[in-house]
Amino acid sequence: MRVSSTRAAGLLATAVTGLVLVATSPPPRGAVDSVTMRLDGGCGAGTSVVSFTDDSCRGSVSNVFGSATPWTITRRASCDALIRDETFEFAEPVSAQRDGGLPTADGGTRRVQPTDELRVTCRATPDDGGHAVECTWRICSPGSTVACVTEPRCSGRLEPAP
Amino acid sequence: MDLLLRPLALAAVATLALNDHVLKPWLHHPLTGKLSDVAGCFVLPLFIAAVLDALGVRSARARLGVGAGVTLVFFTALKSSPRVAAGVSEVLAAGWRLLGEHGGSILADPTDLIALPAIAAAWVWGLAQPGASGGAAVTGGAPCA
Repeated sequence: MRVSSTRAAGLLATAVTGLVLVATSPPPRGAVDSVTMRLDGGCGAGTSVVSFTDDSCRGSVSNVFGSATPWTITRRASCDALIRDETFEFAEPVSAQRDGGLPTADGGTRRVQPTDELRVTCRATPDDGGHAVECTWRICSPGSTVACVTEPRCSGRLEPAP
Repeated sequence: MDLLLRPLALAAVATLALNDHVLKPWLHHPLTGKLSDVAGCFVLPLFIAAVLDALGVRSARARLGVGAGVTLVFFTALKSSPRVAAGVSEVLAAGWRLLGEHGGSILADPTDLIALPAIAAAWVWGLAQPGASGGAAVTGGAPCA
């Protein structure tokens, strides 16, 4: 069976168009293996940077509360879901102290302990195709939903790490 | 299928590819977020019509009508339902994984529905093309020799 050149070109155009349509929503450039989320506002200029530095989604959060010691975090969800609603839990203990202390169940406060957890919840705001992110930071007692300190909401966007 | 060979359709496909892979990650601008939606809503009906043409559907009006209808339902569900968006993201991510890449995500965003008129534009434009008013004439190609 011979096919006209016009029909062959049409088939080719259809195939290429199909590929273009399937290849929408490409992975963010530099994502997964090297992504920095810059948080601009609410957390102090230049003090809040979340980095995911390898495929296992491990990374660090530096200086969120003024400490010079970065915290190591473990992301429980897959990197693919980076811009969806997620909660990151910090596997390593928080080593910083925080003014005001951590609220306790009896209404008092106490100083942050090394065993406390730092949690950040991030939510995508799809204003530019899903790259903008806002996060809420909390320090919590391990396993507790009561003794948490809510930090200012921050906003940022996912960018390739420099 | 030759609708996809017309300059406007080719430009829409090129815009979709360029915007998704270059402009979006480069500019991070709301306009780039909407540009792909508009281009996609224009291209997808034509693509579906072209596939139906290849499958032997003779009526150009039927092909474009089905393409526009499917696109309308799909895009509305995709941008209105987080569950649909997550499901489509998973499918696309599976395709990217075959290429050794981690897929991106599609987010439900009702404001993207502003692109829906592009579906009507594709339908009207497609029917206005030479030979599209009749049965199979929209293909416009020479018969198999």
